[in-house]
Amino acid sequence: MSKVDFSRMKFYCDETLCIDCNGCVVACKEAHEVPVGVNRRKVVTINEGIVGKEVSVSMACMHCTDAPCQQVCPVDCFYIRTDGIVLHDKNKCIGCGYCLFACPFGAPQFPKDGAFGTKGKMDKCTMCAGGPEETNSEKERHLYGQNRIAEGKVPMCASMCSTKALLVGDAHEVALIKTYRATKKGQGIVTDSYGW
Amino acid sequence: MANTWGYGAMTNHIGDMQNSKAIIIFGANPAANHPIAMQHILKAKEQNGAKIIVVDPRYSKTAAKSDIYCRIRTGTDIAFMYGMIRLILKNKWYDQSFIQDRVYGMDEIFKECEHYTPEVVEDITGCPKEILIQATTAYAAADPGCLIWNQGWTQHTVGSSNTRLGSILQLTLGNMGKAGGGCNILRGHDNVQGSTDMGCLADTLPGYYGLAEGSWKYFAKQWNVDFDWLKARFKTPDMMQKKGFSLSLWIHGVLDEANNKNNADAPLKALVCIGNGISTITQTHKMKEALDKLDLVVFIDPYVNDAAVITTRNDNMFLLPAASQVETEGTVVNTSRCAQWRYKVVDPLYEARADHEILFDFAKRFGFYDQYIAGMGKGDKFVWPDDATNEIAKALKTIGMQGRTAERIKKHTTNWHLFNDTSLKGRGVVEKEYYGLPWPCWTTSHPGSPVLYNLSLPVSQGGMGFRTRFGVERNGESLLAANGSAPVGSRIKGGYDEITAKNIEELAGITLSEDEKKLLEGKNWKNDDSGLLNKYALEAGLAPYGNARARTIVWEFIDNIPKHREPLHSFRHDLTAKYPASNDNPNHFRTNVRYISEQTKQEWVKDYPINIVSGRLVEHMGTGTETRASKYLAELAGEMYGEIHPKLGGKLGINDGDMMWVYGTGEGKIKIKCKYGYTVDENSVFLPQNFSGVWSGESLEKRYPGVTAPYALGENSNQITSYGYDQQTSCPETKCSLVRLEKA
Amino acid sequence: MENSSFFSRNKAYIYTFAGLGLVGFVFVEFLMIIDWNYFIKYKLHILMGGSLDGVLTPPSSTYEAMSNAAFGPNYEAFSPEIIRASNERQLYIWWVFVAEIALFCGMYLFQGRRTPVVKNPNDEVVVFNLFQRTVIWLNVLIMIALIITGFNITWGLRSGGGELAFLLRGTHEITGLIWFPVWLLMSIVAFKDSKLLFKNSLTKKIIIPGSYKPMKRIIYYFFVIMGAGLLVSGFIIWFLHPDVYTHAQLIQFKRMMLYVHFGSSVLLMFFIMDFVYSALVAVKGNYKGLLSGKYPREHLEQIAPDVLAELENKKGKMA
Repeated sequence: MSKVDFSRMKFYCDETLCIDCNGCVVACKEAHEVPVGVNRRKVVTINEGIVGKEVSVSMACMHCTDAPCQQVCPVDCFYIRTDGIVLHDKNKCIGCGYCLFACPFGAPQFPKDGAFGTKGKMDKCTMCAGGPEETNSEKERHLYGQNRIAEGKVPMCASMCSTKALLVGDAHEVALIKTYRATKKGQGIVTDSYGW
Repeated sequence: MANTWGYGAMTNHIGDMQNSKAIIIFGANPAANHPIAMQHILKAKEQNGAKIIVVDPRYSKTAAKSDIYCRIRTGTDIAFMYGMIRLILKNKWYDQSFIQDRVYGMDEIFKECEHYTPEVVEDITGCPKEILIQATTAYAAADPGCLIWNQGWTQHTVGSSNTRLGSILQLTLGNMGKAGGGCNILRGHDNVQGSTDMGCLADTLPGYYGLAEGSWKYFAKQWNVDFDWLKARFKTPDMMQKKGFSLSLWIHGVLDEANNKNNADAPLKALVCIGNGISTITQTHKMKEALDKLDLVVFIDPYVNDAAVITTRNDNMFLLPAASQVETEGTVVNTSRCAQWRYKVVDPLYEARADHEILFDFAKRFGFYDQYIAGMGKGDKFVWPDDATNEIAKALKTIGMQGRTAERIKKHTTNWHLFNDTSLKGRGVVEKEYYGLPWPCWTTSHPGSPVLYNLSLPVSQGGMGFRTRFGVERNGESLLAANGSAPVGSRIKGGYDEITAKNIEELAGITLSEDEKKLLEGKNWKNDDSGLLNKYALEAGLAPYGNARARTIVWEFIDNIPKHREPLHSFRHDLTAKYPASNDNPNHFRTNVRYISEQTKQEWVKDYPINIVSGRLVEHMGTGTETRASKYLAELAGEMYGEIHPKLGGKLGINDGDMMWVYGTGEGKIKIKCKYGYTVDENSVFLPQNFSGVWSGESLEKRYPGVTAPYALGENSNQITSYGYDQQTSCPETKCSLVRLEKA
Repeated sequence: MENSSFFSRNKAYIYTFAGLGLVGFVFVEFLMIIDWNYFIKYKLHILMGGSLDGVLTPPSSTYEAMSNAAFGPNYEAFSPEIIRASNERQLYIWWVFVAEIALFCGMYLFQGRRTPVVKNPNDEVVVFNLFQRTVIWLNVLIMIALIITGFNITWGLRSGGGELAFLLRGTHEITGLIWFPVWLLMSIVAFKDSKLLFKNSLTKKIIIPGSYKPMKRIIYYFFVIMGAGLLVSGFIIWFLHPDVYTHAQLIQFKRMMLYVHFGSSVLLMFFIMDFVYSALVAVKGNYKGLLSGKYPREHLEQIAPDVLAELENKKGKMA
């Protein structure tokens, strides 16, 4: 019998295609009704205005295999799915912020809605895979936003990317796409628009 | 463009850009203004090996993805292009056979371009000559190459010359009428093309029919109303045929008494503004004055129009809530001439009413409702918008709308998954049709014409030559296409005049029956209701509008061939003597418009030494009325600013994050935050034009009724843009303004 | 002879700093993975007026520039230590407490308890006035609250998170805010060394009587400095709240502040234990006076003659 081959979900943003349109940022915020002040995804542009050197890339939680946030959490509220998506339980979270210190990418976000502006529960990109609550229940939607992965849909940000710079999916598939793009350079149009 | 080859619309379509081998972008920023269209440009770059060349005063997000970037001074595009044409001429990169067969007047252009050596171009534009040569070499070497422009070209006093010279450049290289080539004007809004098609312009009737009596008579027939009744609606008969005030100049019809004589001896007294952000036209303070002075102001809009809070009148101003696009139904036409049906999602909320309901209500109260709906031919039992769509299809023959019935458009929208995104070709139930039936779509069985002026397809499949719009000959030279240059399957193997009842038999090689002759008497393709002329023309492989040469010389224009003229408020005052503005125009869209007198009034650059580069932020659309009311967009881009080069900031003593006053050449001034950046050069300031709600440092938030104020307010940058209007179209010269910056 | 008197006079200092030095060395060298070089350079960089973002050398490549702009610089400098410490701290830190308590138990066994003989318990002297007692007790209560809520975070695995733990964490931040004035007052009230520098009626009224012996002096200064460190770093961690766009510029600084917070709290805990031991365990009878403010004269004669002398002086002067 052949071994079960689980996907490993990954994001990939091609900086030669990202045009800093913030479509991914707004799509994510709209889809999950994220409060103002919290940005699960952001676009970073460096060397703005420097001819030939300006580059933009869209970043959110990278769903690391060795997620530092999961390692550092004092109440151990993170769990990593078999397909690599890193999620957390907002009911356990105490809002201490260690995950933000440990994350190289600054993915964990805290709404400042407590008294004197103390931090609320941590919120971050879930790769549109919800949380530990019952899948696609109202509770899950309220706490974590949509669970598109359970519905077989592409996460919101990548589906809305104007130039298809942002890709998400099984690491092999994404790598294949990138390889395909690189090797087919200059050979004529082979792919449909609005796919990848 | 209409004056060059017949139609003034994007010649190819958005997906078609993937077929280009070089894309040159002047005065446009698709990365910010058309992010989805940018995908096609980037696909062309990545998969098709296309070279992307951007010519822009600012290193925009589009420029960041370019292979060659040319920084030019604002308003010097003509000099740059003549520089390119001269190099093309000298190196013989032009398409000789294309010019010989399909272009008239190229010699004049080749003569004019001699002056623009790379050194001269470098002096005028500021772009190093090596980069000009590199860009031209790359662009000319590519086949096909497409040219993109937008408001970076049209918003100048010489905007009409910019666009013509761009078309001429494409003609020189033979890039017209082929996939991957063309002039792709990426117009801003999703229905701007549709609105101009419907005649929302001051100088045309719907379908770009002119204002002559013949056109009015034609429309009277289409609308099923009595021509004399229509004529009697105007104060005098000549007012009926007069060009109206344009969007940028109406304020002068209110404020400047001298213009009354152009307007039947009366100033403008009332304004009804339906879904238009009039606060983004230049000279906002004059607009405020005009709004204050009018007897009646009505805004019809789903959001509170920003102009409504700029004016301080206390009486006779009405805000009528209009329904948004999801609360009503109808068609839109995108920049590449494709139609799309928009279905209603919800009924209008609260007190909002669909625009047509509001207008019908007005018509009822004004007493001409019956005439208003007569065109649909169903009395008051019409179905909206299907019957209106069919009325439009029937009436607008000049742009070949006959094939775009409600039924066909709906079929496309319902089946949009069956169309290929790059070629627009359909399959299955929509086989052989192009998505949205891009006009001209001559008959109800025509598939639409995605690439204009394409000779490699028969007319019945969307092919055509250039339009015979300017006559058949001039000064002894034929304006018709040369022998051998005709769409595939054409009965006439060369050029021919536009189809009329008189020449249909000869050109199509048919004989009309007596009944047909009666039906067609005195008709031509633009007013033939029977459809017979188009039918016979298509059967013979002829385009109803003729097959002619594109002309580089527009004898009706002030500048017969495009000429470089310095902007009215030029950064290089020393060049204004050599390249002066045109003469003042006392009756330009009923307004007295200054040109040379404004340019020579004073040496503007002494008091106002900084150049404005204006543009859009990707988060906002137009005036920003709608987008600044969206909390996430307001969060991302919620503050008005001016971006300057750090060296300029150092010279002026303004730090990154400081507030600064910007003084315009008119009376306006704005107080905005300073942002350091390298996208502009050391003599410019970049101002986004998407903000409103702050007036010279004072917030207008309190003037918004109730809780309708948007989340983000900012200074309206048009308070400080300079006076100036295109010499042909009156488009405002926002791109060439001078200002003074001071720390606040 | 000089040696021994020097040694006996400065025994406390020598033991403390030698002990800290040894333990510190062991920890820094073998048990922590912080980039100390970067840590010190970063602090110097900030003090010399540089930026807070932690970029000490300009990026050598576009990749590095991108990395700095997107993630903040030198991730490896602090974060691995934070992760390691967070994991291990929960499991091992109470062994540290056990060790510290064992140390003091050992000292108790060794030195025992001094019990002053009080024959006249009613012959009392007022040592602490109401104001001083309020400050002292507020300080005690708030510090206990801070310790409990702080360790609620550290020992999250035992609490399992949830609403109560979340509330306690929030309480930690607000209590820290409240502690600032109390710490300040305590620092002033206990600043016995000021009497060596200046004498005026104000110092006499506010500052508690007596002068410091070496060990108590050390404890006092550690209280002030570590308390300041905790407060400043705590405020910064709380109020410096970078949004997603300023994250890269501020996160490295926040990480450093987090480590300052942890380090200060560890040291402070030790010296608090030291104080509790030396004031309450090593000596019998100090507790009651903290509540009433009065001590029997004989108690002071035997335990704190410097206090008695100062009070008599004061009385003498007043009389």
